[in-house]
Amino acid sequence: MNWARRLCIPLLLLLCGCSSIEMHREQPEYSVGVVLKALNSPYWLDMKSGMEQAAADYGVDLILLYPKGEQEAEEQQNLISDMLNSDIDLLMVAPCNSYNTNWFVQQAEERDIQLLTVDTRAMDTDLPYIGSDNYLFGKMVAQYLNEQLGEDASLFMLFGPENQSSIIERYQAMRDELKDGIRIRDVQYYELSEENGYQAVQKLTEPVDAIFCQNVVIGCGAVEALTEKGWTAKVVAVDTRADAIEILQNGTMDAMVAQDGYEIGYQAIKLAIESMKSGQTMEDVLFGGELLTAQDVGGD
Amino acid sequence: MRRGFRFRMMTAILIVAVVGMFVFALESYSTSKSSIEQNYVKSLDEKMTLQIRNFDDVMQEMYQQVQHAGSEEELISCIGRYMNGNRSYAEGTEVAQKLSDILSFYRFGSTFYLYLPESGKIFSSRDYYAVRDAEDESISFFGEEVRNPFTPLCRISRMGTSPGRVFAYTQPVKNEAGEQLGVVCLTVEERQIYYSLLDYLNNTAGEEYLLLEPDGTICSAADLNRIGHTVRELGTQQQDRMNAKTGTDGLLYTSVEAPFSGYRILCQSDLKGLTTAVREKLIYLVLIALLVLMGLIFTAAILVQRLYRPIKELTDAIDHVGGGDFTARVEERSVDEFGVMRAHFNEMVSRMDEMMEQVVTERTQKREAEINALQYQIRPHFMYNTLNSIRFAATLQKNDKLAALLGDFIALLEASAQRKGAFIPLKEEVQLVQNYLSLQAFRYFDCFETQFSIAPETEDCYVPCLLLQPMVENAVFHGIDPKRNDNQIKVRSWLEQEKLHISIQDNGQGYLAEPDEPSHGEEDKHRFTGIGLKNVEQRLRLYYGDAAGFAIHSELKVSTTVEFYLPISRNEQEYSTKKGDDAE
Repeated sequence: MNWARRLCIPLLLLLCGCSSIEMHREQPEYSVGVVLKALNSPYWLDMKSGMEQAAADYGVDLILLYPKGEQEAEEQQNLISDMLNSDIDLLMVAPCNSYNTNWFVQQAEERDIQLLTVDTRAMDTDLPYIGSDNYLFGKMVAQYLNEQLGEDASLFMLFGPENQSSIIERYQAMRDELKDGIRIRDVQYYELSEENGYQAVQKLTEPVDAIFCQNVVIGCGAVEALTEKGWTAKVVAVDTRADAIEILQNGTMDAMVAQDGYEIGYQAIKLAIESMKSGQTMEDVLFGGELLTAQDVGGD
Repeated sequence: MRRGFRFRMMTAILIVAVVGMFVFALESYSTSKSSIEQNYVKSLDEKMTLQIRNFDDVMQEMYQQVQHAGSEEELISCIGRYMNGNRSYAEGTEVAQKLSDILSFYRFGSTFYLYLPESGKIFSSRDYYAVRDAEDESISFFGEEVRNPFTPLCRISRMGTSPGRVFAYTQPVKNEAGEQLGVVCLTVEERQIYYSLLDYLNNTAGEEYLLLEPDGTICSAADLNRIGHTVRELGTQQQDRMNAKTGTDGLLYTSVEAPFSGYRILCQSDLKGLTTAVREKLIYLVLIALLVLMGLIFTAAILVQRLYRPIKELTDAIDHVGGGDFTARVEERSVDEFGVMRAHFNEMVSRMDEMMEQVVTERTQKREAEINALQYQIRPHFMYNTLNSIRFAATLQKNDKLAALLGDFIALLEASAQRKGAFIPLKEEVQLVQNYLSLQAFRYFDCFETQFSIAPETEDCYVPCLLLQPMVENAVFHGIDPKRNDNQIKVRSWLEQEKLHISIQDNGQGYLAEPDEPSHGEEDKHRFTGIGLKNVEQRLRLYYGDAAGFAIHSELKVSTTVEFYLPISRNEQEYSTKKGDDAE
């Protein structure tokens, strides 16, 4: 009767609907923390989107934080500090201040958390960097202006916080590449907002021949002020590709250096995961860009 | 026994069919059940993952917001003014207003609180109780340390109009010199979170959703009484991002962890309703199968009956034959194995029938022979009486020779007529032959001589009555030539090889006719196919079968010897057929 019991009991259990389920999904292998400089422009949103996609594709957790603006170095410090106190395996930082990274490099080492920089490199420490080749961008803009402007032209530059490598590199390239006939009238560093761009141009007392803006947001403010003043100047900015095309198509600006925020974000996560898996030290990865003019995109 | 065989066969088929059916039904049931359950857990996982992500988004936004506030320069300078001023209510409301200004996260009853320990005041971004005295119970969680900075606190807040559970993030506010001025705190109300994220999930029947803190304490639920308790069944689930497990109470516990905040959403589901449809289908299937099974049993019964029919016909026929009816036959219809069996059976019975008939015929013949013998006895008896009268007359007339002859004849007739038994000792048979020969000597004017050499040990051997007489008669009739006077008839008996041998020899002309003497051939044929010899041969065969033998040796113009042998019998009844006859 033993067999009968063995057969009957599961049968009865089945029929009365009793069952035992056990399914589970383990914690992702890696948890990646990202602290950006801000999330106030399409470029950052693109980068965030690329990172999220890569995290989903590779099955890792992604915690992405950002301060209120690119100048909020102190807030960013708090965020980095909290990140290093949480359960992450790798931290990716776009430092607001390229010259103040030493402190978190040390903390990360203590907590065995890998570090790398994205978009903006660290100038005081030797951290791997994944992002745009900002010197190349500066060079591309300089070459464009060399072609477009005649002799004795003046250039105004509207940058973000001055202690960020991306700005330093672009500025350096401009200085290296601009022809002698173009004079850098002024370089101003602002929090990247349309208001700041507008105000900066409004304050100008004399017309300029060209304005090089850090990004579209501050650039749009500058264009607005130029229009109000009735001045014409070549306006060039650097931003994510989709925005750059739109801006060029509606004729707001003359040229744009398009960088692919999505791709940078995606590749940064991908390379970081590959590095963690292989255990190999990461190397710098530079992304090129493309200088687009209104003619290139069929705009006005 | 026959019923038993059929019954067992049917039962075996039935068991196989039932077991097969049940296995099939159960297998399909368990497959669909497990597939339904898996899909259920999968959809639950998706739903809960989405919802916990929404929760995480809210928490991350709160975290970011409090981080922004902590380093908000305007707030810091406003605090500085308040601290350095006379700390009046009016100045306090300015701080509160600033808190309200910097708050850009307006969901779930979000409120900024600022606690300035030095002033002992708590400032709120709300209109009510914008500035109030800090009490111990209300400031309890401002300085609380958390293991993970992204994990919100979940506590009863007494800073609002009425105590209520809130999710909160705190952040120290420091001045430019790095000195801590106070702590800023952003709260959202648990009830708001519940109604926004969990309530609509709880509308599903059989499911209850709960929000758990990283340590497993319930922090949001439809039933407020459950908050603050732990879920016993959770166990080690918390190690996984998603875990679904049936608890001891039969409920399914599925939980998904939020990667940012570390909170978990838990669903207690009652799966009874989930598989009802499948179970009903299983019952329906089983019922249908039972019906089909009944049909199958019916069909099987008919088929078995059909298969059994030829066997039954054969067994019936065997019964008949066993009862002695050899006319019983089975109808030969098919050419299958049963056909072969039927054909062989019929053949076998036919052969048995023939053999029985043969036995009966032989017995009848024997009886006829007896009757013939009886009839044979009657006629001599009548003659014997007549002859006795004649002999008496001859004695009276002093004709002793005639009287002696008649005496011999009468003795012979007496022997023929006697009904003592078919077997007599050889001695008596020899006496009969002597009587007969004395009569024949008279008839043939003593032209022959007889010699008897009877071995003494053969004298009491029983032989069928009148066995020798026909042979001697034959020898007298055909072996004696009346024109000669050296005719001899020799009768001998001896035992050899456990058999009684008897020979009758005459020195007549023999019987083996030469081809150029057809007349002799005719005569010999007549001589040896005579009734006497035939009768002897037949009787020997009937009485003794193969145990007796008969041979004629003839040498032309020299002698003829008839020799036969039969088993030695010293018991009158040994080969008698009377016994069997009487028994019948």
